[in-house]
Amino acid sequence: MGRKEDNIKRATEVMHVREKIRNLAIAAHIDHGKTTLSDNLIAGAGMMSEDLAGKSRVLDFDQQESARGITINAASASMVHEIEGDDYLINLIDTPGHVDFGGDVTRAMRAVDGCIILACAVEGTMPQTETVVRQALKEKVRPVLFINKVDRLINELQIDGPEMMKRFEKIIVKVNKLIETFAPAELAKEWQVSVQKGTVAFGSAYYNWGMSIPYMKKSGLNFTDIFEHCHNDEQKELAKKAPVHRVLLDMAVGELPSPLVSQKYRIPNIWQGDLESEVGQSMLNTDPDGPLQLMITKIWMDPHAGEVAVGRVYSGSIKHGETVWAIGAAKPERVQQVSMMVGGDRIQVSQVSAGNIAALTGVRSAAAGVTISRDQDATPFEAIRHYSEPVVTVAVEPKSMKDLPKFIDALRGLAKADASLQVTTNQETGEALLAGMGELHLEITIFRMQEEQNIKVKVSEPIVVYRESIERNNSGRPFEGKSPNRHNRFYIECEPLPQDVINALREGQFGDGPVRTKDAKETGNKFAEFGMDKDLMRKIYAIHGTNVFVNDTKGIQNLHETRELMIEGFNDVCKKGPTAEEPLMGVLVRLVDAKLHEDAIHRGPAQTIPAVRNAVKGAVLRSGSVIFEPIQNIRIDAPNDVIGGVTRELTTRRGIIEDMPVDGGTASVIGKMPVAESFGFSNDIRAASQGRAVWNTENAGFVQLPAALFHKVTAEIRQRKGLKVEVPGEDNYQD
Amino acid sequence: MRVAVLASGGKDSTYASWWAQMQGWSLEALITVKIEGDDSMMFQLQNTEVTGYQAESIGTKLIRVISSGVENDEIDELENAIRNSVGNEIDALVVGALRSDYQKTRIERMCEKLGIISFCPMWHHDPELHMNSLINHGFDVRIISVSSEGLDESWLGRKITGESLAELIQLSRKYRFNLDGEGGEFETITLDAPHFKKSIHCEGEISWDGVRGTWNITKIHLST
Ligand SMILES: Nc1nc2c(ncn2[C@@H]2O[C@H](COP(=O)(O)OP(=O)(O)O)[C@@H](O)[C@H]2O)c(=O)[nH]1
Ligand SMILES: [Mg+2]
Repeated sequence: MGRKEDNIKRATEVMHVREKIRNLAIAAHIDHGKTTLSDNLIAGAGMMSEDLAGKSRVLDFDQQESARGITINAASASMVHEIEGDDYLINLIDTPGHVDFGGDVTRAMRAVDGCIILACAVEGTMPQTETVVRQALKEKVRPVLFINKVDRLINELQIDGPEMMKRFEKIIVKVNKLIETFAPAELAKEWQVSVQKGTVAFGSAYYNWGMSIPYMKKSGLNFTDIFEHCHNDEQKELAKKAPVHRVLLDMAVGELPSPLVSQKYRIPNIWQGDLESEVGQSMLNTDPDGPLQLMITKIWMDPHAGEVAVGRVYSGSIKHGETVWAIGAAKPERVQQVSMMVGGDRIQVSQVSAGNIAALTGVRSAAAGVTISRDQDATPFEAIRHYSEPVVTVAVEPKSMKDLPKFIDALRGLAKADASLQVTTNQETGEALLAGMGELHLEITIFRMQEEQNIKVKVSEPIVVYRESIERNNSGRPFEGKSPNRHNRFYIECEPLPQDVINALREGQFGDGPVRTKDAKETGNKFAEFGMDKDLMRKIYAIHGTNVFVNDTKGIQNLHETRELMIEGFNDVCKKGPTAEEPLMGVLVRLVDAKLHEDAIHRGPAQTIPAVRNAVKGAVLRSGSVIFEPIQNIRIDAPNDVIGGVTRELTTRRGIIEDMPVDGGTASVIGKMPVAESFGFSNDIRAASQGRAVWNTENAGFVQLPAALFHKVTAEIRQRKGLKVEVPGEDNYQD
Repeated sequence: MRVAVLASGGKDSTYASWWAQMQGWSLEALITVKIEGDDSMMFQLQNTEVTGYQAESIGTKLIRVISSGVENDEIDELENAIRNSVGNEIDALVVGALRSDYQKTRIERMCEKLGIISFCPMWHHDPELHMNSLINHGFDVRIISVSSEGLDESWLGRKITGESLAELIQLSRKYRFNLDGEGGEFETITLDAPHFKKSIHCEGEISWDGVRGTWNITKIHLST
């Protein structure tokens, strides 16, 4: 038996020993070395040849990821780690390094209990580091810290011991501050990381060595040894004495929780069912013999097996050949294969038990975020919250109409695999609109479709997705919307929601969609915690994105019967606002009065929906409608002598410079830039800096479009959509 | 049985008068309500003058009732008019209501007070079967008003045929409106029917406000 085969055998055995399982993710800012480290861990654990590690990148198993050198999706790999004769099973989830794929990071966090936050010693913590730490903590995933690329500190920057400690300290303080702010209160203290406690390690993923205080004690190595090895070009030897995989996996086993420990506090955070019920107890106890409860966190396309659904088993065991429900699906499905993932290999097993990560084929209705159970009526897990909204759209169509069925199928698969992607198709023309997190996100999605499905497509220029909102309110001046038959009238008032409520809505804290009557009270109470009127918010009808619809009327007969239709009308406007048919943002829509035809037949969908739609549109216009544009945080690092050109490039694109720290010969520009101005930035910045600038962006929400641009932008959007260029006045909705 | 038919000139009341004749009943009158206001919860608004031609074509008399169109008053106005005209000559009133409880219950209450029976022969007929049956029996039905999402001015003046019905079915599914127009989505006039001795000819013009519209008769006569 080869080493790899032997390991697979040991992995399938230890899988059933719950105390010995660690599910962990590695999360980092792009290029800080996540993929390099992941490969080293896998290679070190004997899952691939050690010489290849750092070069072949098992977790980047998409061909195009290797080509681009960035990790795009969270794949998973299981490996065995031995400590003092005991085997431990490490289930490692890779997370994407680019901010455009933030949704995937959140999903990966749902599958794990612990997380190695990786930060580059040279660059320190970056915006994305902050984001991933936050995402981990929201899911109650415990972090430890690995400071990478220390070889560069020593050899390139020629830093001495005290200076190195200073740099480490800076990173640690930053991470701890994030933990203090974002960890659940009861854990914030315990989870602080420190070198002394052994929850911080450092080293070089590239040269394969790592170090931590516990490992120093164990091995007898000290800081001087590290400096000497680095200075004398002996990092290979150092890697033999202190291999990074051993240092980090020791840390993971020693400091990160097993499922048995973590499910006790994670389950109440991600599952709203009755904790005293059989399945509730079984999940809290990670019971492999309890009812099956599994959450899908990722879908990927296997060239041979087709759709593979990867997820975390929280309770029970998933067995090959059994019939399960993807909660919400119309019919049960048979699990064709159950596997563990080992880098690019999928190893079939007969079952995967509670506390582990499983890969399934055959469950076609599974999508990221879906709960799998044997019970059709099982309470599903909380929806996975992701904090990003699409800001860029492209139109795509197949070059050849004969590819249309394949194209539509491929889009369906994409939408399923990537929740941060919105796909709308026109079945007749075959044109599809893809809305995503940024230009790169869409480029990669399309690249993948062309390569994997072998479909040639035409792609439009990227287009910014704006938001419509309001500046004022129309309180006391409700807008009347009439049904076409004039027998139903709805009266609407709008007001802007407070910023912290918008943020909470964006984070999914209140959920999304119609609010069931029996849940309205509780949802209303949550709004009241943000200082909103409790009595009003308890009459909530629906949430759509960051907009809220409440019924502020009393005693109107038959109103309840039209509730769903009114919500449809509200939703229509949330998707397409009155100003430019862009999505609505941050509006509280209040129904203040209604006149209904007594007879249900006169207030069907074709009457009620347009009436409410008109009422909401008119009220939005009456409340002073405005356009918001997406902006991004940007950080550019470049040598001092070219930084002038870089700042010029930023300011010509309506960029705002917030800070310009200088560190030796390198200057940084930290600021903000509208997404609308970011297209083609990559080329221009390269030219302006002779290719010596490194830059990063991150979506940073929306800001109001400067008034001077309102007409230009709305005219552009309306023209593109084939609308009358002039923004309609409220009388258009009065009739 | 002596009956009167509450006739708007549209497809359902014409169908009802045909049905009444097919029962072998004696059709004493068509009763038409003419609304003075610009809206009514009960009655068809447009082109009710067509019932005069229909009555002549069928060979019965026409009773015209002027009503304010004010909710709840209008039904009392109708009641008084019937009492003062054919109230003693008829045993029953036949109406073409399909699914409007509002209409049906009010008519039933009124008939009770008048001491006559009410008939609602097409009550809850399947909309698609009903529309097809109109075409198959040779009714010439024109759409003369639309007020529903999904119905634009191109429908004004259009005849209901196999082809236009297919289109209407599509739209009614997409926009979820009543295929038979029972929710006030559209109104019709009937220019010919199996029990008409002469067909009606008319011309008209379109008026459209962007949401709803009407087709208004400018010339009308019976065929010679
Ligand atoms: N010198 C040095 N380079 C490293 C180290 N770790 C990663 N790199 C390099 O940094 C770049 C980005 O690494 P990668 O693993 O793709 O980063 P990711 O985007 O976080 O997955 C690659 O060129 C690596 O070879 C390290 O410890 N030392
Ligand atoms: Mg990577």
